[in-house]
Order: sequence, then C-alpha cells, then structure tokens
Amino acid sequence: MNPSVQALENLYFLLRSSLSTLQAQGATPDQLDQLRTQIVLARTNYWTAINNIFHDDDPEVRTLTSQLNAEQLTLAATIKNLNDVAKVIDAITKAVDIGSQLVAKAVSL
Amino acid sequence: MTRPALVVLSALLFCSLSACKVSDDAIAAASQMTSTASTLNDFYSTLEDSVTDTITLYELDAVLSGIPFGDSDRKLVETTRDELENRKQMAAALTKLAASFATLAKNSSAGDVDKSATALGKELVTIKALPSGSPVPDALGQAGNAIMQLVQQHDEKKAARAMDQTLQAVGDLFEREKPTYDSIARTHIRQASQVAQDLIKANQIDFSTMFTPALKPFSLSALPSNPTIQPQLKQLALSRLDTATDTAVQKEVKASTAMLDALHEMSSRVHLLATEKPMPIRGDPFSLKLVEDWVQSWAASFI
Repeated sequence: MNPSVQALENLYFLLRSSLSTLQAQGATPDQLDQLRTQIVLARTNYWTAINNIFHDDDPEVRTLTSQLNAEQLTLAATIKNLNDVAKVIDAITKAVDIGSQLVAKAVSL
Repeated sequence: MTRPALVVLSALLFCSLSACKVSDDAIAAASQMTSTASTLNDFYSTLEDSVTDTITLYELDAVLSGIPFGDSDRKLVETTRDELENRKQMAAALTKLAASFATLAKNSSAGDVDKSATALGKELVTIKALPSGSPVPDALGQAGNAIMQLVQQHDEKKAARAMDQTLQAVGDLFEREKPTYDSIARTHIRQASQVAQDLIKANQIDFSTMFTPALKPFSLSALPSNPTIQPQLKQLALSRLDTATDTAVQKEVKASTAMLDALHEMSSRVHLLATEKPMPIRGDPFSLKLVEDWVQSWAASFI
C-alpha cells in the first residue's frame, strides 16, 4: 500500500470514529462542529490523494507521511485518554493539517 | 498474457487470411483470454459499485452525524468512479477483442476484430492513472493506437507485437494500482461499518434477525427485539460487525491478488505459445473463480 494514502485513510477513520467518543466526553456543539470540519478535510485529503499520483519516493512526502503516522498514534491515545476536548480538537487539527500539506506536496509534484 | 496474445493474434489473423488451421493452443488461449478479461471487467464493475455505495454512505452519514457531504466532496469521489469506469470499459473492450479472436478462428469475418481492436484502442488512449505511484504505462496508450492501425491494415505480425505490449501494460496497470483498489474497497467497508456501528449504539437496529439461525429451521420468526436483552445483543452485534469488517477487507485483498495472479497466469501461458511450446493447461486460470466468488459475495453482504 502506498504509505501516504494509507496514512490519510487511517486518519479519516480515526477522526470519524472519534465523533461519538467526543460526544460522550461532553464536547460542546461548537467543538463537535469543529471536529466535523476536520473530518471533511481529512476525507477530502484522502480522495484527493486517490485521484492524484503520489510520489512516495519524494523525501518531503516521506517525511510528512512519517509525521502523520506519528501524529495519528499520539492522537489515538489522546482521544482515548484525555478528557479535555479542546486539546483533542487542537491535536486533530494539527494532524489534519499535516495531511493537507502531504496532499498539497504530492499534487504539486 | 503478453506473449500468448502475440501468438494467438498472429495465428488467428494469419490463418484467417491464408485459410490454414489454427492451432488448438491458440484457440484455447483466445478462450482463456476472454474469460480473464471478462473477470477483470467484473472486478472493475464491482469496485465501481463499491464507490457508488460509499457515496450513498456519505449521504447517510451527513444526515445521521451531521458531517457535511457537499457537491465538491461528491465530485471528488465521482472522479475516482469515472476512472474505474474507464478501466471497466477497457476490460470490456479487451473481452470483445479476445472473443473476436475466437470467432475468427472459426472462419468468421475479420471485421469483428477490427471493431473490437478499435474500441480497445480508444479506451486505452483515454484512460488515466489512479495513484499509489501507478502512472499508466506509456506502452498502454501507444499500443492502443498501434492496435487500431495495424489490425485495420491486417499487418498481423506488427499487430501481434502491439497486442503483446497492450496486454503487458494492462497487467502492469493492475499491479501498480492494486493497492489503490484495495484502499477504495476498504474505505467502503470501513465507512459502512462506521455507520452501522453508530446505528447499533443509538439503538436504531432491530436485532430480531439475529435469531434466524435458531428459528428458521422451524419456520418461526422473532418478535421485534426485546428491550431487556437489547444490551447483550448490541454487544454481540458490534462484535460481529468488527469480525465481518475484517473478513470483508481480507476477502477483497485476496480477490485483487487472485485477479493479478490470473493476469500473470495468462501471460505465462501465452508465452508458451509465443515460444512455440505446447500449452498443457487448457482451462481458465484457477484464480478467476476466487475473483468471481468475491464479486458475487460483495453484492450480497459482508457476512
């Protein structure tokens, strides 16, 4: 599997499954809307990646993919253990931003 | 698939012009090529349906979870579906071309081959790449053009070489894009699983069908699920959902691997013909059945 596409696929599903988790943790409607926005972005990144040719041999893409994978590991633990929803949303936004950089880089190659 | 195609095409076209006897191996190879290309068409068709279902799931998710699915989101996914449709058309054209070889071997008109080759050429030159480092090989488009011209000119030897390149390119395309096909199918399964999970957790599911294995043998049917046993059934349903999701993902990977194996198998058989060696195996590649089983099960359910 292309590591970058795989990373984007996994990020989308991690965020999608976190929606009910954050609801259970008492996220406010605004916070849930922020999460939904990030989910849409993650989904867009995934399908954009599918529709474009990725260059996993590019050093910058490799670095971004590694960063994204590392961020996802942290994020999964954060969503599971942290009760501060605002911090979770920040971490999610950061991960999705790396995904967006990855797609932008790949599309530009 | 490459080498055999060369021989089959050469044999059939040459024999159609000179009234010589087409070898049994060439006829068998033409038949096997037809089956393989037809299954390839089914594979792409199923994957295309999978993307359509994913779109439906996003629509459902928008209603259930409030995750927007706007026009631009839809267009993005539809672009992928369009590319799969191109590949399906390419496989369909390849099927017709292979079938035409078989028809030609029975002394039919060469016009059928002309039409099929033209259709295939058009598909090959318009197809685009899907990602995962899988640009469509240049040979694909070039060979498509060559087939159109050379078969129409009845230059059988050159046409055979072009066909050789084309079949090789189709195999290369599938091999390079296979990880992307797997991701597209997996995304469908995971999205369906996510929506189902949400519905189960929200108590929006009637679990009474879970009693079917016990009741069906006695022609009995259950009442709508009882609230007192709902929590236990919910856990069982979630557990089954996880298992079924994993199983479905693995099945698709096996099917795409089998499809690739079938394309390679055809290639090796045609190579035997190309090198004027006997082709001992006459049946369709064994792995085609695995692909067809997956196509049928995919349309039914993941469990």
